[in-house]
Amino acid sequence: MIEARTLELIHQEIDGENTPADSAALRQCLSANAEARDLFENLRRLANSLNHMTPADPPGDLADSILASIPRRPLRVERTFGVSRTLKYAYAAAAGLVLGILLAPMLQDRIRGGSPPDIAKVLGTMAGNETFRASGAIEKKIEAAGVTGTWRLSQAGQLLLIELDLTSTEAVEAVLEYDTRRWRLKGIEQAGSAEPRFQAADQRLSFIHQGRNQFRILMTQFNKGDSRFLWSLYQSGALLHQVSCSLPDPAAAVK
Amino acid sequence: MTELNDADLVAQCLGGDTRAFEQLVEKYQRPLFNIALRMVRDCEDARDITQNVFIKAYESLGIYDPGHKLFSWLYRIAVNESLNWIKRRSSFARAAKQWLLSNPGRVEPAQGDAGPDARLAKALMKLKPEHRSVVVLKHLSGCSYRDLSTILAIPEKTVKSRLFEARRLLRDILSAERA
Repeated sequence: MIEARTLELIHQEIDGENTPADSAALRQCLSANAEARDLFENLRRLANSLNHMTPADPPGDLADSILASIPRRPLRVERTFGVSRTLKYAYAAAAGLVLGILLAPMLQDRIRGGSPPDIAKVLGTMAGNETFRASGAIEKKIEAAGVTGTWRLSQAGQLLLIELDLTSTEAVEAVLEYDTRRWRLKGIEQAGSAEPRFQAADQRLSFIHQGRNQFRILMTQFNKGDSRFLWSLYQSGALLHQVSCSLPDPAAAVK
Repeated sequence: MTELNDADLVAQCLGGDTRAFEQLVEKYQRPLFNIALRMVRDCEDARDITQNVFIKAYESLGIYDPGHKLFSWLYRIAVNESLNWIKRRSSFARAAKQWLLSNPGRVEPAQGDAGPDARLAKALMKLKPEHRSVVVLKHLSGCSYRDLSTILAIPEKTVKSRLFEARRLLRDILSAERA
C-alpha cells in the first residue's frame, strides 16, 4: 500500500521538484516500504528512458520554408486601451455569437450549395486554395448515366490536390487508383449531402457516394517520377465511367 | 557578435527586422519540431505543424506578452497546433489506417522507428493527446511544473495529477507489451 503523499513525493523526486525536506521525507518512506521502493525505481527508469529519447533533426530546409512562408508585411502591435484580457475575451465571444447567429443561415446555404472549405484546413497544410489555383490545373468532366461532375488535379510543388465534385441519383462506388510508391495520402475533406465511407486498399482509395458531394484529397509526393491517376465509377459492380491523367514529376517541374 | 535574448529579438521583429525572426526560427525550430513529432509521430506532419507554429507566432508577435517566456508561448502554440491536427485527422483516421495496413511496405517509417526509442514512441502514441502532451513537454522538452502550468494553461496541481497519471498509463502500456 502506497499512500497518496508518498506517491506525490515519488513523482516529484523523479521530476526534480522536491524540496530537500521533501526528499528526506521520501527517503524515510522508501526505507520502510518495499512496494514504494519498487515503484520509485520503476518510474525512475521510465523517466530516464523518456529523458534520453534521441531528439530528431528537423528537415534541413524547414527554416527556409518557414521564412519563405511568413507574410512580408509590417507586424501590428495590438493596443488594448487598458481593457483586461478577460473582458476582451468576453467581448470577442459576444461578437462571435452575434455574428454566428447572423451568418448561420448564409453558411448553411453555402454548404447546401456545395461551397467547399479551404484546403488549408486539410491537415493543417500551409498551402491554401490560391496556391493550387495559381499553379494551373487539369480538369475533366464526368458524364455517365445518372452521374455528373468534374474532377480536377492541381499541383503546388510536391503537393497534389484532387478535387472531385460528384452528383449521382443512385449509389455509386468512386475509386481513385494511384502509385503508392510515389504518392502518399495526406488528407481528405468532404462537404455535401452524405457521410462517405472511405476505404483504402492496395494502390486505391474508394468510397460509396450518393447525392452531391465535394471532396478534396491532398497527396504528397515522396518519390520522384511520372505518375498516373485513374478515376473509376462503378454501379452495382459495372463500370460507368473512367478517366485517367498522367502527371509529370512535379519535383522535376519545380526545378 | 553579441547574442540577443528573446525579448530583444521580438522587439526587433516588431520593428520590421525579419533577420531577427530568422534567429528565432534557428533557435526554436528543433525543439518545436520535436514536440510536434512526438505528438503526431509523423515527420512530414510535424514539419507542417512546426511551420504553422512559426507563422502563427510571427503574425501574433504584436500581441505576445513579454512578461511571459517566449519558449512557453511558442510551446503552447505547438501543443495546440498538434492537438488541432490530431482532431482534424480523426475525420479520415479509418481510411488512413486501412491504407497504412494495406501498404506496409510502401510507408516510410516514422522517424525514430528504427532506433531504440521505437517502443517508447509507440507507447506514447497510445496515450490520450492531453496525457501525451504533458509527458512530451516534461521529459522531452525539460519543462518544470510551473512551465507546464503556463504552457498548458492549467493549475500546477492539475499538471501534476495529469503527469502522474500519464506515467502510470505509460508504465502499464510498456508492461503489457513486455508480457
